[in-house]
Amino acid sequence: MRFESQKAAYKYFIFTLVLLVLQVLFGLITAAQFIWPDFMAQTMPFNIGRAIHINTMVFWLLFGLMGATYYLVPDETDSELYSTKLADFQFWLLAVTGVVAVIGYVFGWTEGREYIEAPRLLDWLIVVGVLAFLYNIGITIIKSKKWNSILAVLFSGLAGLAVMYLFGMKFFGSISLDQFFWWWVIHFWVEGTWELIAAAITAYLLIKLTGVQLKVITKWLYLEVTLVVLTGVLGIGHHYFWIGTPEYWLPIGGIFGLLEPLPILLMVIDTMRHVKHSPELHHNRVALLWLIGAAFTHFVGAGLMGVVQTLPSINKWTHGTQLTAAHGHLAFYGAFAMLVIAAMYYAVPNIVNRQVSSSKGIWAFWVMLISMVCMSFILFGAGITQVYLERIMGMDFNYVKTNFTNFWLLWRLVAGVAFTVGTIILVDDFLHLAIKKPAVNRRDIDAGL
Amino acid sequence: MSNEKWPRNLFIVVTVICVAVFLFLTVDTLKQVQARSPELTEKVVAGKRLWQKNNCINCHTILGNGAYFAPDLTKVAQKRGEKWLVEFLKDPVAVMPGTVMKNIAMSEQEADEMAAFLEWVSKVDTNGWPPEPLGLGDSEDSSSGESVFQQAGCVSCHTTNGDGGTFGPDLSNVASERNNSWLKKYISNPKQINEQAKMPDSSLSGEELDAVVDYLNNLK
Repeated sequence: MRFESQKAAYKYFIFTLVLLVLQVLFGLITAAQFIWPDFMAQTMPFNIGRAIHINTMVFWLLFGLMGATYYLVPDETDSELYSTKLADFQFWLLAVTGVVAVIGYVFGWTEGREYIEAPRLLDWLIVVGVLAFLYNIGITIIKSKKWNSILAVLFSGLAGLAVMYLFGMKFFGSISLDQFFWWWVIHFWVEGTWELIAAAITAYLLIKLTGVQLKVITKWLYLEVTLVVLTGVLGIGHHYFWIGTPEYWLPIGGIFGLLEPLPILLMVIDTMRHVKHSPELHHNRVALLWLIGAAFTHFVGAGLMGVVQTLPSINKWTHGTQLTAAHGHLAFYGAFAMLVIAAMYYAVPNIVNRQVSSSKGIWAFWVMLISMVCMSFILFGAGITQVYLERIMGMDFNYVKTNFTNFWLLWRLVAGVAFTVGTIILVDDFLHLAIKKPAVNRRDIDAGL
Repeated sequence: MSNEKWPRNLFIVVTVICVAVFLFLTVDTLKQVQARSPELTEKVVAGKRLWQKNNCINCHTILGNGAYFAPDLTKVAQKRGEKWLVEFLKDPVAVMPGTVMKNIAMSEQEADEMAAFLEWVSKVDTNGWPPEPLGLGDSEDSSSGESVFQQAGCVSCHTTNGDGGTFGPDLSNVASERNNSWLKKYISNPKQINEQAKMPDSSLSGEELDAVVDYLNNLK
């Protein structure tokens, strides 16, 4: 760690783990409720549990991406952060807002719109927190006068993320308009601005972990994000097939949706190229493993599992089934969750000045990855079953659910339990890193204390 | 110098063009979208607010977006009718004893507003989504007794020929135990025959009722 202010990232990473544990816990509850609908039905109804499951995810990914940003910006600008106090203030503001939001859901305080359930008052607090973040990062970069490719792409992504959030704050009487603008938040986040942020963080980690030069990576990075924008902006059309928007979105969404895996494929090729031709592989192999895993899983989960249902002629049958859940789980996990964990495995050991124990990180990697891949493919099976019996044959939803898809969803729960085990290993690894600080002790010893 | 900057400039140019095209399409979409759905009334908007307040989207999908725990509600108003929806929303368990949706108990007014909202949604021009199912095989059509039995939700509680729910009795042999007029009377209004019956009144048309009873007869 070259700059003291990089420590600002630490709180963000710790809170990321807390929210991850909550997300997994509520995932288990809701997965069990598919099979036993009466399980905790009064204390934690499915709709509340699910809102918490997806909101804790949005929050932990955002905290992770912000933490990674706070860690990498001093490195890339060759300067301290503009203000660590502002970073701390922003952390507490957003953390308290997040906690209040989650508790609020339990008592029915919700805006009732998927992924962006936070009520209006909390929306404004989130806006203030994000503005403080952008200001802090922006001023740091401007003062340093070092707008390199990583910083430029990262900042574009972060600013875009903030702007898009605003479109989720208005009430629409028409559900068509509601969903039209709701997708501005969701699609332009995960298939737009978050992809820019992910590409920038990936580029930063590749430089640190493989020793590749910024000059070499800059060209790749810009090509990737150009493709993200080229395919992703009009790719939003694949969400506009059936919500009451005009018919011309069918060909537009179909064509651009088909192209959406291309930038992700380029990221995989880019990552593997740099790893293979690495001038100097970093000793932190755990972070590298998570980074490579993120690239591949991103491609399979977000790219392939999305593209197979993006054509209108197929999407007509698959839209709104467990196939979307299959795609959603692996896409979020590969594209963002694994990347945040890779960034944490790189940054946290440097912050606490201690080497990462590779065995636990590798165990967590494989247990979490295999169980998540299984979960996704199980959901895919459930989705195919649902599409065939309910959509094509015309059987009753509940009948198909109880008699056919629940067979798959029982195995999904098993995969969920395995994923929980992986999460425990991961959190345990970071707890050890955080609590034990032998390097400091050694320094104390050296100092004769 | 310019040679080094081309990737960045390409990114900026592509972004500007894509965003411009998208905003142009957005303006056109916003113009067209109103004409593709019925007029919004205060009652529909009140229903939409209830839809959000009750966090319906985290169990159901609507226009195909939402959670996959409970059925899609895009066309539910056409399938069930307004009267059924209002009764269901006031007391789901009374109308559908096996339902998982036990926590909702709307007032008459709320149920009315919600039904108006769902009615409105069912009339949105969705480019033909959801598509009509292709059916349960060559010999069946959507008005056949078996289809009605599936789609009216009978199958959620009752088993026929080894398939179906177990909340209500197995109906595989019911036609050999009861005659047709008894079956029709019972299906239309179970409490008329048995006050303790947990089965809700059906909203089947006369034709659908005939088809279901035919279907039960053919099981014998």
